Amino acid sequence: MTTQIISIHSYRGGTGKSNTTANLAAQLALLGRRVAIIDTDIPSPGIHILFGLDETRMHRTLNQFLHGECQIEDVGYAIGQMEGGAPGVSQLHGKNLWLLPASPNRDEIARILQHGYDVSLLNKGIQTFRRSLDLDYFFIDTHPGLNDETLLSIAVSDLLIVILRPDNQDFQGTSVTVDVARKLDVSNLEIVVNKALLSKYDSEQIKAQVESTYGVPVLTVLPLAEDVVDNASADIFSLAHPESPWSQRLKAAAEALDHRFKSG
Amino acid sequence: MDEQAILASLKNLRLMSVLPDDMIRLVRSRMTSEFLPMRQILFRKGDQGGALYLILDGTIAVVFPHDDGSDEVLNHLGPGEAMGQMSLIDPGLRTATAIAVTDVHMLRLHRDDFQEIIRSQPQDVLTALGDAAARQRLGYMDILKQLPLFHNMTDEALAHIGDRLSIVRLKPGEPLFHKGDPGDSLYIVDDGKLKITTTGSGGEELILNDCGPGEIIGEMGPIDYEPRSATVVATTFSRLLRLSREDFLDIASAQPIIAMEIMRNMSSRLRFATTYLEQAIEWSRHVAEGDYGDAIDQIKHSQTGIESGGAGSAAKATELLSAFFQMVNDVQRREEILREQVRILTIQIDEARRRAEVHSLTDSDSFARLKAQAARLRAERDEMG
Repeated sequence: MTTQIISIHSYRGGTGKSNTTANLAAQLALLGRRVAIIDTDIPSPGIHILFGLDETRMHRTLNQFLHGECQIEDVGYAIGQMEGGAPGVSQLHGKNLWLLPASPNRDEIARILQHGYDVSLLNKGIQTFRRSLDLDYFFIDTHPGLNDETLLSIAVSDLLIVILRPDNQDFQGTSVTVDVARKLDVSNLEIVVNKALLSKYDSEQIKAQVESTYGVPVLTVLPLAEDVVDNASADIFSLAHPESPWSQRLKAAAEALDHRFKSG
Repeated sequence: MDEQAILASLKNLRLMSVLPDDMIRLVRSRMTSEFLPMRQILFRKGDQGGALYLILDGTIAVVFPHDDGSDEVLNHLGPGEAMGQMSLIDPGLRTATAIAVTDVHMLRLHRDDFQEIIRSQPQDVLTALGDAAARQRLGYMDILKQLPLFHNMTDEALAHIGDRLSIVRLKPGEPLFHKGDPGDSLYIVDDGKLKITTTGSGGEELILNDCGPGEIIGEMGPIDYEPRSATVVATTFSRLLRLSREDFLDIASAQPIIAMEIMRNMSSRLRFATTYLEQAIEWSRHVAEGDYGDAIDQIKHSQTGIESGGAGSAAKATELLSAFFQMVNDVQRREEILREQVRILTIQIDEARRRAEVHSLTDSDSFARLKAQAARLRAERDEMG
């Protein structure tokens, strides 16, 4: 199948975007798919932490690629080939999952932010990487907010997934995101509602309300759960805690996505 | 009335009660004697107010003239009682007509004299005066009237509510209440500014809105008793008037007219709710209309007010309505326990703000360039296969 390029976006920070992206990608890898994630959140990269990577283990990052200092292949870390790791991540041994991280180093971040980067170069890098590895899915984790780089990566994706929390600010912000995405002729839009208070609200009712408000399908409604808050930071939660309601819903969402693209 | 009695009466007045004794004596000394013969009008509704009157002897009727020409007697005032306190602070218009029922001897204090006296007072006395005035201020009746809950209420009924308002004073940064607190009171902002906030997932404070003088916080509190949906914090020194649920229910059960009007307002507000509460209100309305309808009508149209409307029917109506409110309380509590309080999520988008933001992002040359660039990048991608 041709690579599905999926951008994951939020209007504001704190929606659980990186965590959700990492888990979706991991679940798809577990299903046997060939999956890559690129962290384009240059100002505040964080997805590498979930996979057990830190500065000492990341010799090359997206930042260097964007400065023309290395090839895109040098930036790809084969998670499935890494040794050891936390309980969740270690389940990815032998699976086809690559991460292209951005640098958490302050100087590296500043370097890019000062001069910006060439989105065309990023795009070429993505295209090169996906072809060389014959990927099924390529996730682009974006920086929150509607800035030019984000809008461009959204525009070249096959699917845009918007993640929001069910609160007024996010609802309002998402309405803008949806409108702007449509003006950019983004072909496919989906919403993930994260951190929903499912003890108080019915997930089906949330899904229906969100769908009718935006005219966009809801992929899944994920609960706000204490166990996710506690454990999510340094591991792939849905692999480490498959019994958690959050994990179950997330896994079902990954399967739904895959089913759609496999048959579509 | 002897001098001691006069001073005592003055001290009883809400505004005067905050003044020290020597000031009260000074106030007394500035008051002039007046005589009003029987049936003479002291002032009319709509007249410019500017004086306080303390009755020494006789009776004055406070009357509200309706548009259809009928007069509704709000009150009778006798020796030791006063009217026009507010005009000492706010030179507004008289909100009712005052007529001498008998010959009346009284003392009059002009606003200018009062202002001169208090000018010399220290700050804490002036503050206390402000508080007292806030409670008295008839302007709040207008604000209360705008609430669906008090919509068609008479001024007299609202005045009863006005009497029960208590003052809340906050320093900058001091919370009025926190999200999740039981919401049992309604607040009117008299002075100052407050912010309405909630907590973001990162623990950061998110400001939802702010409110200032004349605005209401928690209008359904006394009825709903729902947990507060946000935290409210004063950003400046603030003064609020508070109507607690207890006071509200007291007024309602003691004043059948108020209770009836509230029931009517509540039921129209809850028209589409399918709860036990609505059914209870429906039931009670039938009962009230069935058995006591006449009595309640009589009370409503009585010329001489609630007190003399016919003791038997008034008492029965009061009983019924007290029981009703008790039942409403019980039903509500039971419902809360029985059901998990699964709530409906509502999404409200500020469409104007949405359009403005989308416009600012997309209606520009740079966005057009972005679109073109996106098209190029898509082409590059497709080209690369």
